[in-house]
Amino acid sequence: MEDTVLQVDHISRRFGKKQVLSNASFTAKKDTCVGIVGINGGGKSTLLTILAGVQKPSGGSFTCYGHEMFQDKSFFSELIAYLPQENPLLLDLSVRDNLRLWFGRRIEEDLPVLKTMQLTELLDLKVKDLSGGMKRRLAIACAVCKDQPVLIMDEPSSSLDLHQKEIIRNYIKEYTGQGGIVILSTHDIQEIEVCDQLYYLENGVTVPVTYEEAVGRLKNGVE
Amino acid sequence: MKEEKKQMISREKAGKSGRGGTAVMYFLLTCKKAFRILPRFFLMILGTLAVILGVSALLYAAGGSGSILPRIRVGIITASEDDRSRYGVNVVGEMGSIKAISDFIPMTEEEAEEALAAGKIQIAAYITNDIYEDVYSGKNTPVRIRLTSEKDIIMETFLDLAEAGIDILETGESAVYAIGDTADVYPLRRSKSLLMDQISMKFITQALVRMGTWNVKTLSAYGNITVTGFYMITVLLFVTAVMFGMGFAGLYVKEEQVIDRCLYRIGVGPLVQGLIRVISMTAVLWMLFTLGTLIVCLVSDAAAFRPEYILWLLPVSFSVAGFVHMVYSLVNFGSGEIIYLLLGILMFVLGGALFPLSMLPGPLSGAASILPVQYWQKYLADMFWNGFSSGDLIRILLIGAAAMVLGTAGAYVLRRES
Repeated sequence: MEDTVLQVDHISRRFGKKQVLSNASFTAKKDTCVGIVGINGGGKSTLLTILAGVQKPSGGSFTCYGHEMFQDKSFFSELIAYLPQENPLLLDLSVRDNLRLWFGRRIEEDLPVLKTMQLTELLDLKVKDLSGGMKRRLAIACAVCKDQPVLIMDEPSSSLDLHQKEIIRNYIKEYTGQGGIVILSTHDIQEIEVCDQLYYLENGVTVPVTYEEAVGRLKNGVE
Repeated sequence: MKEEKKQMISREKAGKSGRGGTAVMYFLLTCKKAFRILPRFFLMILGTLAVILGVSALLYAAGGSGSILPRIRVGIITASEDDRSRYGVNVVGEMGSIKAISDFIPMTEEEAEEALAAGKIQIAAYITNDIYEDVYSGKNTPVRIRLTSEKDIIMETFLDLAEAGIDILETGESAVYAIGDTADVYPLRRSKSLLMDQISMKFITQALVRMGTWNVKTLSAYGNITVTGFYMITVLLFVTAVMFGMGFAGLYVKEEQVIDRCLYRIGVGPLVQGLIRVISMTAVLWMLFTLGTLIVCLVSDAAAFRPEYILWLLPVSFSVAGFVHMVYSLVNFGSGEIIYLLLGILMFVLGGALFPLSMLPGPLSGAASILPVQYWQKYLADMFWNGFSSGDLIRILLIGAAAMVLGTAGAYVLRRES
């Protein structure tokens, strides 16, 4: 497909004797949100950490904007923003310090992402004093510091209340609306709603599913 | 496509500078976190000291003399007509330091024989006639001592002191000088108990100075160093390396693991991360070592502070920091603090910091040779009293570097699959 800018081919990952991923494959165009759904322990986080460059696959390829990602590690930081399942935040330091860390410089208080994530009033607070939702929004702001075209999110709104989930869903729509690609893993039915493409990770293999199929599988816990 | 390529190039440049910027920021923020442990640990040390002082005060109040061990009973046998010797021995027996471990009980030779047999006294000391004269003549008349067959720790201590040369003559001589010094300083209107306390303090100082215990250079493993100096270094190292080392556990909590992974993916790898942590810990330890050295030099007369110490303390700070990094990197995130404390205490007990290596049993003294404490100890001993040693410097730098690399590599291998 001519508009395809992201291609994941036959990604596999083995830990000792355990084959966590055997054939994870999908493609994505700009303005697309790809959802990877599945049960806990199914390999979703493993797949996302591979695509984010945190770990190497046992096999397969990943091409993004014409770059073979596994050939040069530097492409990951330039092209991929990554939000892990746990927030990569220094709890004893302030919101401002954490933003400085990931931005690599002093930050301006009128940064658009601060307004979107409603962090402007929280800059001088210590991260450990923030609520779960505030920490998650801060983590997202830190992840997208380099304005990368691809955003990988591992269960972005897990354990958050409805209001926080709404903020994050709106941000995902805004991100894709500006031409970005979002790849997220979830087992949350509301998060599935924002996805344009859905894949169910089953026995280490990505299976394309519709929204209804994904919801059905999640509800039934089908393996 | 051309526009996209332009964007790729600008992102590539932004990526590279951003990576460097993040590394610098991570270093600055890690230093910030490292220095933040200081107030918490100063409070912890003050709290520990308060507890120790409080418990000691309670024990003192409960026990009267503050001793938690029973005093030994010493029967003193003097000739009935030798009033001056008997008086001198009684004065010595009333000294607070003597009363802390023993009670002098005057008795006849027959009473002493019966009391020893019945276990009513543990020691019988037979004072020779006119021993009082030895103070003027300089003659050192030995005192015959008889013991019960059972010996406890107090008796062992008493006998060790006797064998080491604190005989009654030196004690008496010391007491005379001590009384003289005290009488010069304190007016006679002071209460008897206060005067006796002051005499005890003076007596101890005089006796030990004259005997030279604290000035004896007994620890040949560290060259020219006295007992006082040895323990001065031990305290300095223990407080800095172990107690403050525990505070650095905050740099290795579980949250840091997530950050490490995110840093890794943007090119700030494990070695750089490890180096950043070690440098930030080195900075804190350097400050603590300098402050601690200044304090011990002020409190103790064992050494005088010199400005070049500030520079010479940097390598040992790095060495300790490397060791701290190794320990925390190789244990599970979140459990480092207690493991580091246990390891630190064990290291100090086995590493020659509490007593000389030669006193350790054979297999254990071998273990001490692979622990870094003795090398830190020797470096500081040479720095204070023997002159800067390049050999010591190389050794401790190698220890720090090896520990840092080992810790970083070990953590990378252990956590690679997680």
